[in-house]
Amino acid sequence: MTALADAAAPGLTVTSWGSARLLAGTGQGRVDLARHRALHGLPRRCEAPQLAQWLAAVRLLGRGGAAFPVATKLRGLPVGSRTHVVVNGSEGEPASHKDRVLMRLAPHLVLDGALAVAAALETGRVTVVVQDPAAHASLAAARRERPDARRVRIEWHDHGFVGGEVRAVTRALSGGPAVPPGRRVLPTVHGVDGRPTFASNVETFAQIALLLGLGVDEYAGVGSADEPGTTLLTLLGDVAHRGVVEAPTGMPLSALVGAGDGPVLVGGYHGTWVCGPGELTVSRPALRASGSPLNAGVIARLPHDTCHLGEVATVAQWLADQSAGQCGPCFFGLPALAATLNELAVGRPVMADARRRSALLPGRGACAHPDGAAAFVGSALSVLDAEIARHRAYGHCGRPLHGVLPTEPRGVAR
Amino acid sequence: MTLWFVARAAGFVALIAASLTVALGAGGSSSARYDGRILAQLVHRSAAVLTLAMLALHAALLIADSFVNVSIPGALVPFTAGYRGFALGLGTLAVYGFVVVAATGALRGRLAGSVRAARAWRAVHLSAYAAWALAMAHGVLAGTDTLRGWALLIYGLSAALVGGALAGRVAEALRTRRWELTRARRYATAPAGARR
Amino acid sequence: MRLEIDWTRCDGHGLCARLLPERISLDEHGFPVLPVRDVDEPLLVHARRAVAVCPRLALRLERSPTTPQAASHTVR
Repeated sequence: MTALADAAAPGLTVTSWGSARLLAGTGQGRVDLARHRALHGLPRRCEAPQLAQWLAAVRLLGRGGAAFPVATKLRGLPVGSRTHVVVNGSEGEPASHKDRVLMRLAPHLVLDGALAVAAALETGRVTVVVQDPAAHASLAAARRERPDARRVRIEWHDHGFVGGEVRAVTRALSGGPAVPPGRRVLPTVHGVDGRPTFASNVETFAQIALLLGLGVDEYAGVGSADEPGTTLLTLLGDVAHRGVVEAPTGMPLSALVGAGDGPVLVGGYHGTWVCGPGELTVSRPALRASGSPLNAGVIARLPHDTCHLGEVATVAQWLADQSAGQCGPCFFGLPALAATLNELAVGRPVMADARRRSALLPGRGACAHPDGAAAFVGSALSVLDAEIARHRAYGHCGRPLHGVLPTEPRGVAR
Repeated sequence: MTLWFVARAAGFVALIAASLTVALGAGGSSSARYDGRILAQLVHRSAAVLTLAMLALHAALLIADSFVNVSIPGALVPFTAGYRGFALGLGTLAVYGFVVVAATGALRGRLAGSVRAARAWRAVHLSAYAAWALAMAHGVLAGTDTLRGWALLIYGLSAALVGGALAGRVAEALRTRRWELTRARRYATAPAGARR
Repeated sequence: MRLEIDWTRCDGHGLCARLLPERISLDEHGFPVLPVRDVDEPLLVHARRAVAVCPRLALRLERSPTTPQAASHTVR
C-alpha cells in the first residue's frame, strides 16, 4: 500500500495497491509534462486495427460504468475526420473521485490516450468534458505544456449526474440539451453533430495510453486473466483506506475494505448492496456475473454508528432530484420511492410498496437512471432487512444520520 | 338561387362539423373514460372528412352560382374575390388550413418514425384552432344571414363546442400532475447553455 | 415485431393499455408497463391500433433485433 497524495483535495487520499501505474508519480503532486515523459516515455501512435487488436488482447473494458469492450467500440467506428473523440470526465456521481483525481494529478496520461485514439481514427476532433474546476484547470495547463494537444477542446460542463451520461454529453456538445434522447442511438453511430463518436471515460483513455506505452505483455502482467491491469476505485465509509485507490484487478474486495461487518455498496449509487465482501473480487466481468456490477468503481461500507436506512433514503432522494425530468416513470416514480423509504424509516409497514415501486423502474426511461436507482434501492431492501425490522418495531434504529454517503462532491473526509 | 341556398347550408354544416372535429380533438386527451376517448378519436376523424367534403361542396357551389360573383381564382387566391373580398379571403385561408391539418392527421402513423417530425406534427396539427377561428370569422362577416336567430344559434353552438372542449382540456391538464412533467420537460430540453 | 416507447414523449394517457391489455398495463401514475415487448400474430393488429391511437406518437413497433445487441450498454 502506498499513500500517494493527500493534497488533491482536503481529506482526499490517493493510494495504490502494489506499484502505481495510472497514478505513477502522483506521490509528489501533479505530474507535469517533464515528469510524465520521464515516467511513461514519448506518446505512441498506432493505426486503428492494431490498436483494436491490442485492446482486445488485454480485454480492456470501459471505465465509465457500462464496461463496454473498448476494442469492439473502436472497431465500430469509421476512420476519418468526420469522427469525433470525446473524453467524458463529467463524474457526476458525488461519491466518485477517481476521474477528477486522474485529471488533476495525471492529465498528460489522459491526453496521451485521447490523442492516440484520435490519431488511430485519423481525426483531429478531440473534446474533453469536465465538471470539476480543478480538473479543468489541470487539463488546460497540461494542454498549454504540449503542442500536440493544441487542438484539443476542453469544455467545462455543469449538467449534473444525468447530464454526465454519454448521450447527454454528446447532445450538449452538439448544442442541444444536456439530457439523454428518447431514442436509444449509440454515440458510435450518431454522436457529436450527428457524427460517429468514440466517447469514453477519462480513465479508459489513460489505460489506453498505458497500454501503448507498456505493450500488451507488460500491461497484462498485473491483474487477473479475465481483465488484466489495474483499475481506479473510490472507497468510502468504514474501510481501511478511504479515497481513491488504484488496485490490480482480481484483488479480493475483502482485502480492499478490510475487516468489518457493515453492509457493503458495490458500484456506487447505481450499484448494489451486499451483506459483506464475501468472495467478490475487483473484476468487472466477475462482478457483473455475480449481480453486483462495478459501474464507476465506488465501493462503500456503512459504519455502525449511522442509521443505514437513513443513508439509503438520503441517496434515494438525491437520485430522485437528479431525474432529468423527461420520463414519467422516473419523474414521478423516483420521488414516490424516496417517500416510501422515508416512511419505512419512521416505521410504517410499507415494505411491499417499496418493493413494488422499485420493481417498476427498470427499462422505463430514456436512460439507465431509473434502472440504477432500482438496483440501489432494491438491493438495500433485501440486505438491510434486519435494520428495516428495527425501524418497524421502534420507529427508528437509535442511531443518528451521519451522512456517510455524500450527495455533493467533496473531499472524502470521513 | 337554389345553389346559393345549398352553398350556404353546406357552409353551415361544414362549420358545425369543423367545430365538432376540433372539439373532439381537444377533448380527446382527457382522462375521463378510456372507452369514450377512443370512440372520440374515431368520430374526430369522421367529422374531419365530413368537414372537408362540405367545404368542397360549399366552395364549388359558390363558384357555380350566379347570384354572387365568385370566380375560381377569386375562391382560390385569398382576398381577391369580387364579393366581400376580405371575408371570403378568411374563408379561403381557413380551407387551406383545414386541408393541411387533415393531411397531417392522415399521415400521422408514418410520422411516428422520426422524433423531429413527431414534434413538428403536433405544432402543425394544432393550427386547426386558427383555421377554425378563421372559419368563424368568415361565416360572421361573409354571411348575409348572420343576424338571423338560427345563424346566431349555430355560431353560438360552434363556439361553445370548441371553447368548452379547450377549457376542459386546459383545466384537466392543470389538475393532473401531467403539467409538472410538461414543465420539467421544457426545462430539460432547453439547450444546455441556456439553462444556467 | 417489438414495441418501443419514447419515454420523453409518453404523457401517460393510457389509450395504448386500453387497446392492447395483453401487453400493456398502467402503473399508479398512469404510465405504461410492458414486461414483454414482443408482439406476434394475432396481437399485431391490436398493437398497430395502439400505436395509431397514442396521442403523443410515443409508441412504435420495430423489427425485433435478430442479433444480440449490446442491450446492457447503458453508458454514463
